[in-house]
Amino acid sequence: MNRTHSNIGLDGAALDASFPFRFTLSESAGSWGRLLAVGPRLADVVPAARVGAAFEEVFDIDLASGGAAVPERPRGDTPYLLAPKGRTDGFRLRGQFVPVESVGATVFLGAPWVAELDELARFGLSLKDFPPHESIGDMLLLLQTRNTALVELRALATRLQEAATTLDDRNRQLEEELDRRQRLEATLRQVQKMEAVGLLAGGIAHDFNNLMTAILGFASLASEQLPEGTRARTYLDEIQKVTERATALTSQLLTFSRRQVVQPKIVDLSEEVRQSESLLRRLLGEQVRLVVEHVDDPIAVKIDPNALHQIVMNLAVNARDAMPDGGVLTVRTSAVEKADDDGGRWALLEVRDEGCGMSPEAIERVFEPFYTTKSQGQGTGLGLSTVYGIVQQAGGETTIESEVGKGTCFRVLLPTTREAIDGAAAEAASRSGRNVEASILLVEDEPAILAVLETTLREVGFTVHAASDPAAALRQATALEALDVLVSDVGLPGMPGPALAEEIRQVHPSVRTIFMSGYAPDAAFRRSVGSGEHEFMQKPFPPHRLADRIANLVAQRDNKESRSSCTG
Amino acid sequence: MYGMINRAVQGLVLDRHGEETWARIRTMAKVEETEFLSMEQYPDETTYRLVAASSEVLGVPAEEILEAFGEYWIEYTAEAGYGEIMLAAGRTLPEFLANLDQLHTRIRFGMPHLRPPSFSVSEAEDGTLTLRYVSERRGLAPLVVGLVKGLARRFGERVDIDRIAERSDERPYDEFRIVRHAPAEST
Repeated sequence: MNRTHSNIGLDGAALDASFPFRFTLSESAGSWGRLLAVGPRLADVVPAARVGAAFEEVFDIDLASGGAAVPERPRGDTPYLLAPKGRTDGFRLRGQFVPVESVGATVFLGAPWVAELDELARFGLSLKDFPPHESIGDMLLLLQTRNTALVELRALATRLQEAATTLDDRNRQLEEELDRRQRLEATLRQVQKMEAVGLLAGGIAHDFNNLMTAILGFASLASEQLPEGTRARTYLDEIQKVTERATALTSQLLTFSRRQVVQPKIVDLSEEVRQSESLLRRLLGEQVRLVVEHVDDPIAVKIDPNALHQIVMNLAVNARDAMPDGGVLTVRTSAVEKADDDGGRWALLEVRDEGCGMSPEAIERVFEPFYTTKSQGQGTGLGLSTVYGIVQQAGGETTIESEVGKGTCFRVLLPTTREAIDGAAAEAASRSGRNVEASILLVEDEPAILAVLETTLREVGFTVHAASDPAAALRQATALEALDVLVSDVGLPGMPGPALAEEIRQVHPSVRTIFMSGYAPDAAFRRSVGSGEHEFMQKPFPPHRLADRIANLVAQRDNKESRSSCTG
Repeated sequence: MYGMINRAVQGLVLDRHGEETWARIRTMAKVEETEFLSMEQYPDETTYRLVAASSEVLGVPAEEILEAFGEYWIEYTAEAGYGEIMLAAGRTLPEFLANLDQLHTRIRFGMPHLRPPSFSVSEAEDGTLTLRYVSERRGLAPLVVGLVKGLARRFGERVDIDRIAERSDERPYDEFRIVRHAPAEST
């Protein structure tokens, strides 16, 4: 059915307003025709689009969007993109060709194709170029606002991410801080516990030492009264041996409690370990293979060599007992830098076994005195406490790495020193002649000890003045014309031994002093002994050893005097 | 109101007075949001409270705050990704003002909750413009003064603007006279 719609025809002005980019093509065989009319905005932005121009002179058809090939005549059912010839800025018109059969022409109705709002300015257009029926302008605005919102959200997401990262960092720092505090608190608890146990152990050792000094002294005196070979003398000798074993026990307690008076020297850690090697092999037995590794360069540490040997022995025995079926025991020495130390070098002694290992609970208690996992009679529980005490006293650290079934590694860190390693200590032969004449002032508040020492020293031939308190001692010293040696207990009622010695030195400046104690709690005093200011004897000791020491001192003094008189 | 308005208020305070002042204003206005999203709807009340609190904290009358905000809004929209939209609306002050309603209408297709004001402009022979402003919101006339000044600067012009008629029960609009001078020295 043929229908006409003449009642909705648009006049030119209405067409210009609604389609400012329109143009009309004539019918033409073999081509797309010529431009019969041109919309006002098209004429502005495409100057070549003038009435009479051939379509092909004005436009290229964008094939990418318009179809596979240019048809002979424009089709009415396809959107076209037209690119004005000569424009290289990408400006294109999008629209459709509408055949108007009544006038034998084709009208192009369309508008600029713009995908981004900023292209408007580039093409010399504005929103007004899109008539209200054309939605491209609205879409462009929508797109722009959505893009802007997206940019905003991205920025927000970045800020949130940064905030989360900051929070994570703070959280991690907090966890590390908590961790550090927990470790510190654990260390503090351990130190406090060991300190308390040490005080207790040290106190007991002191009383024990006093008692044993008397036992040892009287047993020794009694023994010397009896002919050799008699049963009673044998018994007395046994008493002395047992007392000496008991002495070793209290000595270990003192070491643990860091009350032991030590005589440190500068030694090479590796060399000391090497010296212990043969003894270690005997100690470990055939089941345990000993591997000793050390660096060639000497590692100088300041420590009492006997104490160092004790560390090695105690750790080795502990390792041996952890490997009842045998295994490898590795002792390694090296110089290291400690992570929490600012550049100082430390000597490391490592003793590693392949034994049964320890539970975390055992590790926590392993340095406590008398703590042992060994069966009764197999260990005193003092070996590792002794190690702990020695290392602490030497300014070092002991750490343990252990896991049940996987063995244990003890690491002892000792501060190194730049001082030169001492040569073989010239141990003066102490068994000097006992027929040395000397005037001795003996001060001891424990009557039994005073008695036994006085008796022994008199028997040896010294002139002995005994006093049981500092006041009496001072009185006697003042009255004496000559005094060679002062032998004094450290802990005296009313005035400590060192103060008393100081007073006496005012009267007898050349007097030599030997202090004795079962317990030397004053750190300053322990240091003064370490520096060789005076002699020290750890109770208990056999009385004749005191006599030897006095004889030695007097002989040294006499030698010095005779040398100075020869050269002077 | 869309969040872009509140974002611009926040931007104005942050740019000119810093974080601490903004925090005080936000607290006084009892606004919990630390961020506003441009395309999100917020109650008009939030914006009014922010303006009132800014006036209180900065010790400046609300009218001055609104005028300053109007000027800032032009800078802000240009920088916050709406520059192309502004450009599409016109390249001269009269053209832009004449197209504002069309721009708002088009924007409403993408922001359906937008309740924009309406503007109409007429140009006298001497170039003086008369701007009529109709809004369902009351009390925002000083904002228009700032907006026009901001726009003039954007187009490189210097203007004097006076309100010549005030909205009343009988008159549903405010009217402004805009006298345009020679181009501003720098833009």
